[in-house]
Amino acid sequence: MGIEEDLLKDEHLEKELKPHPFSFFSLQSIALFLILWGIIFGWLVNFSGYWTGFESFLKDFFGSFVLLPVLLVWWVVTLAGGVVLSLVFIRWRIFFIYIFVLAVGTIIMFIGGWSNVYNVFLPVYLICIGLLGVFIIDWYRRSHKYIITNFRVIFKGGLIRKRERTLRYDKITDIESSQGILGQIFDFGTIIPITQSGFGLGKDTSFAAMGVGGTAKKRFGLFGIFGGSKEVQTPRARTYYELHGIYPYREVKKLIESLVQGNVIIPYQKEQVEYQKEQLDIQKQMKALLEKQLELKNQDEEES
Amino acid sequence: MGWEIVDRFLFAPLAPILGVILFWSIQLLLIESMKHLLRKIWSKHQSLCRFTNLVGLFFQAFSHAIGYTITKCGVSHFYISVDESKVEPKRQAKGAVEWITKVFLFIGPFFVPALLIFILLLLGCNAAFKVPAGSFYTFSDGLIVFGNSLSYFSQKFIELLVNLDFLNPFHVFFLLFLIFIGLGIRPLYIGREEKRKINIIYDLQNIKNLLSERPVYIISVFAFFYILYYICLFFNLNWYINLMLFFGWLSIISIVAIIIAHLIILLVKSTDQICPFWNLLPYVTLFISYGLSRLVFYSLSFQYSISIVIMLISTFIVTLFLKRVKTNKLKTKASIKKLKDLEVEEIGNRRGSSKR
Repeated sequence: MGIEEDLLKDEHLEKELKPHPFSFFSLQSIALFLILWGIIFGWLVNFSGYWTGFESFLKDFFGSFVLLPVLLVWWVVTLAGGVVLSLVFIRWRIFFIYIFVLAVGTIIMFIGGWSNVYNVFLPVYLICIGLLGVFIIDWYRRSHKYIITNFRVIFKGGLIRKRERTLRYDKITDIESSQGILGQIFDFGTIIPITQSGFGLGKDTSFAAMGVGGTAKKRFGLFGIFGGSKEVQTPRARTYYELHGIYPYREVKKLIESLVQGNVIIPYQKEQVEYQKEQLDIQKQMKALLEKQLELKNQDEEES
Repeated sequence: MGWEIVDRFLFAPLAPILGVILFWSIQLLLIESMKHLLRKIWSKHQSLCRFTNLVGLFFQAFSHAIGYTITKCGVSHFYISVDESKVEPKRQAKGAVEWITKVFLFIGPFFVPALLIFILLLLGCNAAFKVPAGSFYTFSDGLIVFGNSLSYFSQKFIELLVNLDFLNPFHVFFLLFLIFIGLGIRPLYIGREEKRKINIIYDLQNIKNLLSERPVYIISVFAFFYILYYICLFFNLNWYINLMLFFGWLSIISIVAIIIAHLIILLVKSTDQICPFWNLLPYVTLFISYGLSRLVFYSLSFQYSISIVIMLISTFIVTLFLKRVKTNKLKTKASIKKLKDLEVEEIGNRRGSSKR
């Protein structure tokens, strides 16, 4: 479906945008870590001199069953990466996705009879999963579309469930914009339009708690927990409800701000009042002229 | 005998200082050359230029912050972006402390990035750092000791670089880090747009002002060097020469990093002149030639160095060939000069025929 079909009467397209390829780097880093670790692990197991010594040590220790410690290294380092990424992005689902990926990989290796070529299977599996992740994330990025017209902004996005949001400029009360380091380098950034209803605002919550426990051996046990939480409102929206990672950032920001400014009611009302004042002045002048004319007419009549 | 005493006590300490200044000047010139190259690719590769600027500003801010931390002023505000960096102290520095923080701001960016590579080398290749056993006694002796140590270090460092194994991820990271350091040893511009005043003259002017506005401090620095030298001379210690060698090593690391960054920028600049699609070929050659060389020379002991040499030569030849054949510029088969000669000849012939 073309964009023209979405447009209303007298509405014209100002810009059609998509997020910059690097704007989803935070998501892509989850997949990139797997690729990077896959490469390093493959090199360590197959080519590195360090591994030869380590393997002989393992053989002394575990006998012929070397696969177990290798799998352990594979699991531990991947999960350590998962923990770090989960903490950085405050999303524990990354850790669970990593567990799922590792579990599936281990099952495939044993069921498929790949365990004797674990040195090839394990790194290649990680690299393939990482590449798949990169492609899916880029597919998700490509599903986003932002249409800026003279009336409104249309946000579209979603891989399977298609989402759409239409926002008229007169409903925008505030604009929040941000640019990360990559954004500054590649000139892209995110603009979140906040509406009167508070759409575009999220909450940051911090929680602190403390507990006191008593032992069962003592006669008088004591148990209590007390704590508190704080919430701060912050501009935040889903990527398909904001102008996420748009390029060129400054140009689009200026365009949005000028369109919002053009649709603000107060300047329009001011213009109306000025116009009415002008009208009133003209009417007053005309009244004065008519009165003068009437006076002159009366004088002429009196004289005649 | 009299001249020897003058040489030993007055001129000898100057030898390594002059050596350091010489290498630092080479570094300055190379930085200027890199800025010139970056300016040439500015319009087509703004992202790369912004990246180099960010790295440069980061090191500048980092050096400034180290200055404030060492002088116990503390850092109250640290801000860095692609366009500018700002470091504010908790306590306003005055007098000598202010001067030291300025030294870190103006001279730090030239040495601090190399310090990171130096630490890596110290951990991974400490055999490169050969230091003299004791002090030196004359100006020429000082120059020889300083020169020998630096030449030994340069040799080892180059050996390390040509023996890098690009199939080893850690070696690749080291090279990438070296390029990163080389690209960002000094910011290209400060502010939103490129400013041409941020050049070698600007740097030297700042340093000159720093030295001339408080001559007492610079005299104190020289006095410190001389006292350290005398102590080393009487107790036959190598502290003074080691201190100077440290700065020399940093300069050499910076020079090598900048030269590698030069190669990268030159490749980018050359591929810009080649028409689209074909301009990817030099990059492809870079990887394929290395991979093939590693396969071909697998059994040789010098497989790493020969592969790097073949990679560089083949990329150079392919780029040069494509520049001649597949350039973006309009080219005629005959050279312009030849065409002009033909044109003049043709006009002459026409005139001759019309006269007849």
